[in-house]
Amino acid sequence: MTFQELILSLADYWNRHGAVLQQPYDLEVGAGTMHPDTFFRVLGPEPWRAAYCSPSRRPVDGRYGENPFRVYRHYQFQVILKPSPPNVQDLYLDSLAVFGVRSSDHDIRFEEDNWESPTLGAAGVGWQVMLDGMEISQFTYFQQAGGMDLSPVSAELTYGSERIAMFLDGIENVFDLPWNDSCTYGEIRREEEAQFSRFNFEEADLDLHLSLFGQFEAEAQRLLERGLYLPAYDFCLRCSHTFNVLDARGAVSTTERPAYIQRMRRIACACADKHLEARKAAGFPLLKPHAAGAPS
Amino acid sequence: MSPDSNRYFLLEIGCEEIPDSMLLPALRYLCQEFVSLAQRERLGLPTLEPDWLGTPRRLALRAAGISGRQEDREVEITGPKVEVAYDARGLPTRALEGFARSQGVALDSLLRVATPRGECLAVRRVQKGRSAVEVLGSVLASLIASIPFGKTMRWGAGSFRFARPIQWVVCLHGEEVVPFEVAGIPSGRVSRGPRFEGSPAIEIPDARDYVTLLQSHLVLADWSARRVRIRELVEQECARLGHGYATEERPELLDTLTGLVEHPVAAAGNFDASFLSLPGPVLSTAMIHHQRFLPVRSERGTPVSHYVAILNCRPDPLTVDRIRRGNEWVLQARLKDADFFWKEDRKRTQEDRVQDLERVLFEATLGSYRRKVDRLARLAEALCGDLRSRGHDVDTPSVLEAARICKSDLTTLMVKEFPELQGIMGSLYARLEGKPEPVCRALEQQYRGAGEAEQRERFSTLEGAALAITDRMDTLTGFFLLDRIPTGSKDPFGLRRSALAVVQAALDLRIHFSISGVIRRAVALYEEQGIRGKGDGSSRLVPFLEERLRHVCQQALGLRYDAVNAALAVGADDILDAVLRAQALHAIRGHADFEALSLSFRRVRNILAEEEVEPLTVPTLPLKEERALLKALEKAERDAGPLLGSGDYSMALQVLAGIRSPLDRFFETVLVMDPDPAVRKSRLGLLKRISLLLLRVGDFAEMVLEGEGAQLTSGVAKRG
Repeated sequence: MTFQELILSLADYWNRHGAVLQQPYDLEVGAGTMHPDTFFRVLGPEPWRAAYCSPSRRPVDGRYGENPFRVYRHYQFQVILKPSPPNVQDLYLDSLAVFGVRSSDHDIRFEEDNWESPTLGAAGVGWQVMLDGMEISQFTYFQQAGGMDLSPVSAELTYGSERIAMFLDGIENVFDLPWNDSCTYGEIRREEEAQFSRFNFEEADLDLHLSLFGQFEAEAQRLLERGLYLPAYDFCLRCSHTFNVLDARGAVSTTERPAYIQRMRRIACACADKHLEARKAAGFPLLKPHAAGAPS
Repeated sequence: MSPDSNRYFLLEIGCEEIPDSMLLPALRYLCQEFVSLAQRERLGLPTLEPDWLGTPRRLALRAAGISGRQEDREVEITGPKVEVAYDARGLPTRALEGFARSQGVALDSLLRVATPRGECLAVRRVQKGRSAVEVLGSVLASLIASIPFGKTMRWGAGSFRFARPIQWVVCLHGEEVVPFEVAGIPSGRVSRGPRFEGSPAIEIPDARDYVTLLQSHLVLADWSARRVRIRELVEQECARLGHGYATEERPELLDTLTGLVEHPVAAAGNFDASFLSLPGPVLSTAMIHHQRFLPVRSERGTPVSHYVAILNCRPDPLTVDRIRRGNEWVLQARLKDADFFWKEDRKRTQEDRVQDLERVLFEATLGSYRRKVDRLARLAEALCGDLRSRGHDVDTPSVLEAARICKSDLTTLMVKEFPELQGIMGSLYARLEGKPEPVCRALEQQYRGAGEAEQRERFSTLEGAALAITDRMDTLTGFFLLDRIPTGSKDPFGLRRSALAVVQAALDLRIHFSISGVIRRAVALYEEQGIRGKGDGSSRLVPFLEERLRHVCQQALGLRYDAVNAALAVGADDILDAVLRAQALHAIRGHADFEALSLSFRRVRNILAEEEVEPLTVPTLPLKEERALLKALEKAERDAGPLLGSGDYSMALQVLAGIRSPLDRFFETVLVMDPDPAVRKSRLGLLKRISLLLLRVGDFAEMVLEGEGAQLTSGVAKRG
């Protein structure tokens, strides 16, 4: 199975289970959770199901395209199910069958792994899913987001697409993965890994990024004051990526670090508050029966 | 007992995978609470069979000896007081009539009973016992809800909290369902099989059949049996691999595996022998850390390119083989990763990495690890000076060098991936860089000494002990300055373990040093950094360390609490010295001379407690008994002096025993409080000198004498 077939088959499966098929968010994010269709939609009482493939950029993970397992940008396949269905584990296990992994043929384990994103004021309880000894997914019951306790609770499933594809094909170097029948992952992505590793670790202009962080933050706050919480959140995401670049460049000292995170968290939580207010004012439109994305 | 008591009771809480570390504590709580609940509800004394029933997907309990029904009991319901029940003419009031009516009895069947609030009218009636099914059905939901977990969660639209979502509940007394509902789930008789069989529904006709039925569906629910089974399987696989092959002894890993599988199957696997060039600890950790594979050693104890994995799967050869191939593939990738780290990390020396520590936080207020190693180098200098002044031949330059680079490995890829290799990696890298052996061994040992008694690795070099003490004392002082002092079960920074390590380092290497000296220096170093204590933080550090010392003396060394109290009562600034004194006192307890000496000492202390007394210098002692005592004292002082100085407390006590008889005779014949002030002053001064001498070993008044058993408890209580 090629890399793109894997993503296609997951999208197809979750399409059949009532998810809104979204596209990745077109800003740099560190994880699929940061997509507004996860971060905002898990707040409040409205039901929601969405699935999308999210390129996730983590500058510190870059290895110049030379490490067979680590890349600065990887593809998470992200599913959010709200409220978490009682059979969510079975739904997840069934989804593995679309690429030929049946529970009866393998050793699939759910091992404790709790997740936390201080930047988003988010935390969850769950597992890492191990397939024959390899971690293939994160499975999280969201308990908090935007600093608020969530009710209902959403289930977030994050598939590590590269790892799964490598495992299925028995390939030991991510860059050898067949993307489709004619190209490999490396042919498409290696140059990007090399260049961005250089950029993130060596070339990113510190003064520029430090000043950008401050400007993005100020803009987010200005927009928040005008009630434009969606554009404000975009600027929060820009802060987050700028921070990650600064971090990879070694420009964030330990003492400054919590303060940076606090600054981003403040914006994210304010955006969450505003979103909830707006949805409430609109009468929580997705509470209507058979709304788009609602579980049927 | 009713004939029903040969029925079994069964409770099974079916869950999504519960973290392995939470499983046993939850089962213990569940069983304990169930047993006391059954007794409280008059349902007999249940026996659990087997002890622990639980897998990642179920917390269960099976008990015999639950009666079918509570015994009937007579209950008394009190009504109005007599004054209120009858009016002035002695006729029933409305209050009384109302009470009788509410109880459905005639007025003439009421009794008079004495109660704390006076004489009352009452009804006595037999309360029929309820059936076990009814009683248990009314209380089990709250028992389940009360199970404490380290971390709980909510799910779906509910507000119930548990370790992980509850999926089903089975509850039977014999064949009968005990009906209740918890987290919106009604109890029933349908359990579920393992995931690899598609979680089939398993109907349990009778609680008695639970364990065997589940076993026939490939769920080995008995926790202890599962652990034993895993061990057997591992041994079988090893035997197949080669003669004398065995896995590393890892009891905690066996516990984890028991908590991760419902039906263990073993699969030995191989990896590329070229990875055997990796250091042993790296190889083992790569297998254990993420994969939970058991590394295999040859007959000679050297690592070989095999491991044993415990799988949770169908026990058919094709499946096992498929999973083995998957496991091998994953391990190969892990080892490649480790190999990459091993090569990459060596591109920067441990010395180069000191500056990188600027970016690694030790604690928000206390600053980075860079700050910490700067403090450590200077604190180590003070400690080594103290050690050398007491004749310990510690290699100071090596300790200082080790202190400077001891946290460098926190910045290596290997330690970021495998945090349990901290210290060990530092020493491996330092050795490759050609650092002196004492430096490398100090680095390797710095995190030792935190475990309990036999399981821990002991400190084996002076430099390792010195580095560990320096590091732990810096941490302890810092957190105590910030008033982050552990309370009760809360010790998020592991400060008790740090204190324990300091004690163990001192005892393993038998080194003398001054704790207060180290603390003073550490406080000064923090002050230079602008960090000052808020409260009396650092002064509470000494008692905190003493508490750990007391624990080690009593638990690990088996010394009696009163000997420990006596020794510590006169100070524990030098940990080893305090232990030597406690050991000597422990050894002489019960000895006739010391029983007597202890009694006399109490008298001495009581007398001295009343007066300000200077030790005797110019004697005015008219009686021969007191002159004899002075003579014995002077001899004891002369003979015991060097022994006390060299820490030979057992011999010193032998010498001190010599003043027992003269002291006894002194008290028999001499009145201390003589009317002549000069004589009185001399006698008091004489006692003061005796007291000072004895106190160099311990406070003998703390020693519990034969037949003073009653004080045992008060002695413990006093020490808290």
